[in-house]
Amino acid sequence: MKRSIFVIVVLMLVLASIASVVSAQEEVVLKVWDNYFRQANDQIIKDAMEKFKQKHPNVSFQRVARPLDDLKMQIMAALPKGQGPDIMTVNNAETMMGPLVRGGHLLALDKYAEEYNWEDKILSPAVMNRARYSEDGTVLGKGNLYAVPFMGELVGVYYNKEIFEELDLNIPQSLEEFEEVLKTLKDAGYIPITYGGLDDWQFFHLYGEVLGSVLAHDMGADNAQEYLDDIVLRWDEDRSFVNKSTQESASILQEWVENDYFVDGFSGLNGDDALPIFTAGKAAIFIQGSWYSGDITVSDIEAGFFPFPPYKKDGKLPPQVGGMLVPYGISAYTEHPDLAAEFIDIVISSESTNEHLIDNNSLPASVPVDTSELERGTLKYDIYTTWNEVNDSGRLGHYLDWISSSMWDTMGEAGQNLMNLDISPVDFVEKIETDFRQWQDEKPKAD
Amino acid sequence: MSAEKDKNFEPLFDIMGKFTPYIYILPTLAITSVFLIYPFINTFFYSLLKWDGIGEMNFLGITNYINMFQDPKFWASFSANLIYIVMYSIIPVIAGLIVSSLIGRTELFGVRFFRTVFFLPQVIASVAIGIIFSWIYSSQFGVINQILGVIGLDKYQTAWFGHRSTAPYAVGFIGIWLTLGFAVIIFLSGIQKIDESIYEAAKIDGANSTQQFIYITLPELRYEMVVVFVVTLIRSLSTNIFGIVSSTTGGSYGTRPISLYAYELAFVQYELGYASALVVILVVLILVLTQIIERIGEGS
Amino acid sequence: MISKKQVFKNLLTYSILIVLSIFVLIPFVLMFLGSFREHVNIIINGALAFPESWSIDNFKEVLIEYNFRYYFINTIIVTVPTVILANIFAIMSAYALAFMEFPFKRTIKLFTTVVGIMIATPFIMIPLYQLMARLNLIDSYLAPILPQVAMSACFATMVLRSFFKGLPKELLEASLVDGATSWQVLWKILVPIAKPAIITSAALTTVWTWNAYLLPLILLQDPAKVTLPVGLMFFKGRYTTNIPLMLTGTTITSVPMIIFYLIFQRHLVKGLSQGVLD
Repeated sequence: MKRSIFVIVVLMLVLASIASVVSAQEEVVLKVWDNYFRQANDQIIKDAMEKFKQKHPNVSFQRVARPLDDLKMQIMAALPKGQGPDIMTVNNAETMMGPLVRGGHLLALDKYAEEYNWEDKILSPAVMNRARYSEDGTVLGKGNLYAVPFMGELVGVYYNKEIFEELDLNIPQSLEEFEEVLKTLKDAGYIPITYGGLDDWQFFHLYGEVLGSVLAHDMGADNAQEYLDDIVLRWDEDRSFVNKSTQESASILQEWVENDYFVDGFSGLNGDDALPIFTAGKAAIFIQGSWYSGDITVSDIEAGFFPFPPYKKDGKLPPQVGGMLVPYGISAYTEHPDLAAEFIDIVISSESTNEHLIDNNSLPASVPVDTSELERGTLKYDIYTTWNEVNDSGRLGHYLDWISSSMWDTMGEAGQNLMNLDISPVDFVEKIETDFRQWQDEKPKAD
Repeated sequence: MSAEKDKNFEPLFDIMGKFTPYIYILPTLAITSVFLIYPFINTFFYSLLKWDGIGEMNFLGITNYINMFQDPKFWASFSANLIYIVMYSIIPVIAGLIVSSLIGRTELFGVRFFRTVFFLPQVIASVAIGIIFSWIYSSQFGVINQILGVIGLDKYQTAWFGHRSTAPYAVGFIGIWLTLGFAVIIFLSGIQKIDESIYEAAKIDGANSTQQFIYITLPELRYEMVVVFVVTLIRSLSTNIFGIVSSTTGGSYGTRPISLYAYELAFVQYELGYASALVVILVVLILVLTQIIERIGEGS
Repeated sequence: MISKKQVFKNLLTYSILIVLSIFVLIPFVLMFLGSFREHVNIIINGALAFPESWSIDNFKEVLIEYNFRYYFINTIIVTVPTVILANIFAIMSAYALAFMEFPFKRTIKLFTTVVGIMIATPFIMIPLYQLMARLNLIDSYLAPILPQVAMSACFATMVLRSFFKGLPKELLEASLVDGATSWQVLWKILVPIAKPAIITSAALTTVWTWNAYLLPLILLQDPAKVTLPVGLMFFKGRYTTNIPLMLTGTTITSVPMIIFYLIFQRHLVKGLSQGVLD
């Protein structure tokens, strides 16, 4: 009798636990916070969610899609309280990832990277290092993987094909040829380069492109890439920003300003103002990122894209500014890490993701991109062949504002002063170096 | 009526005896204390820390304050703020007094229209203000440069947002556009309570309208002047200017006010401790200035 | 009989007003025109050009695809209680501050006027979030409402106190002699007289609450509870802005406020004379 009661109790317990597991499964809600609210990217996430729900009917999503700055404040407020999302976009380096890793709020994804083979699927291992931190969050560029992107970004040179044809210009193969093109354009009465100097980041991209070319010439392309990695990623205190290449790059820009190669009054224009000057056919060249290619495609001009040329005509690609779109990470407080990781994998590796990206001239993180179906001579073709080439040769340079947490501010101001001819290239480089040295004292250190 | 009685109004203390005033003041005081002052005390506490806002806190003492006074970026933003005080606060107060005395007491045709027009800038979100004024000031296609071109003053065309010599004033000018209407609205409501018979008496005494303005309107509006001055001053130092600058120049070329610098320190550079110290100093500055204005204006 | 001088004066007044009105209105004209344009058109033709058609597609897109029709309701839910509560609180506190003497008045006045206006949201964002989380109010409409009531009440207290202070004291004394309680004096005598000031402070607190951005952003994370100013930021990308939709969104956001002001502004005149003479 006693025994049977015991058996019944055990049976009931087992049943209850099964029931609770089943009901728990039914109740899973994944909270996803991201900044992919624009049409194409938004569709990618929605498609992935549909696909995920087919596999896991018990899971539903609660998604918040907001601009990055807004999202960042929400995450900063919520995550340290153990609240907030399961999955979220985590901007690279010290803009978000560093402080979150140091606070212990992000889950290391290496286990899942192996399980889903992310290293082979997306970008190159070297580029993926940008989403790595040491476990204590003191060293960027190596250690655990904390986020994965589904899209990349690349800066290069947009040019107006009609103007180039009219003036019988070819795609320049060296910096010297590039400057000849600028001069020809100027003499013909066109605005050679449109540029929005009021937005700090426009300078980082412009200077970064020239710097890559000069560095690659002075120290060789491989060493140039390593130099940039050391400074931007690893905050290597043995490296210095004061050298011949950084100074020469700054003086090249000042020369261009003196020769009137930039649009008049560029210092008072922002990016949104600079673009229409190119798309209206007034300016022949726009040195900017892949994110503009959609807007340029819908305009009336016929445009092309090429990587910023090497210093000397040697056919070797210098580092091109670029990186990954704000990647997805997982909260350390999530109750469903496995499901979260599976969802991220679906976002990255769905065929529909790449279709949406290519439809919208965006760069898939999963490379190489199949260009065989693309029409040659189009802007799209130019961009994807450049993207493949950059990834293949490992020449994806850096956003220079990552050098330190205050570099955005420092380089933004120094860059504007440089372009307004208020300071010399030497002063400019000194200002960056001062900030970099200060960062050596302030940067997060292991205890 | 004796001065003593004037001050006290004994009969008002009827609901709860001498606690009556506190009953009336309690709702505002309570909600302000819990949801503004209490969090701000936390901010003061943060200002004594080295803290990124996310990870662990380290106690620093007053180091943040010492660093601040040696930080050239702080002083640059401080001097931007001085320009904004003039253009967001002082000029609109003066211009607002003149405009409201022009339309406050007349039955001019269309007064309602003008009053609505002056209210309009209050309703627009600052992101949009940023976009529109970028068009007005743009070096390439801006309204101002086009007008200068038409009237033959081409040589004054410039990149208004793109130089240290013009950008802070260009941003400040937006402040006049924005706060003039606010001043007019508050002054208009104040003018309504001035007894018309005072003006009639002055007219009989032969006072012209300038004299009426100086000897009647101005003194009668002193409380409103304090309100407008204090509110516009606060807005020029903290919230309002912050939105305008970040959506126009982004703080470039000497346009960054203290509040924007503090915000960038906190949420871009993750220096929440240092940013809090800036905020505390800013609040102290506002307190001192507003108290001076109130003392002078209300003559206590 | 209108004198020559009077004509000249009116003419001067009108010219000043017209010049100032043009100065104030130019940005609105640009906004209105911009809201009918297409993004492509701005990319091709630049900022200053007429819309190629007067199509209302932008308005449809913003209201329907960008869900502004729901954001409207959310914003009303946040604004209405805020303005009502804040102004009732302010009428009471301004009354005490203007007419009564009591210990700690100076400090209390500071805390219920200037302090409340100057502690701006960005200064207290993180601690405020933590407070709301502890009170379990995150994602509740109360979360943005409560601090907004505090800020608005302080501003309104300041405006109303200054209005009360300027009133002739005889007014109050006369009614108190009649045997009315302080509560009755406030609501039956002072509030009707102070109508212009109350309408003014209500109008301004409404507009500021309506346009408040940071509080609802941080404290309402549920995407179903987005308010209009937070929604506006959806048109701003990392590198590019959809300018026409942003301007359309702003037009949609501001039109109700303009209508609101038009309705209430007829109450702005002659509050005092009515109150006294009735």
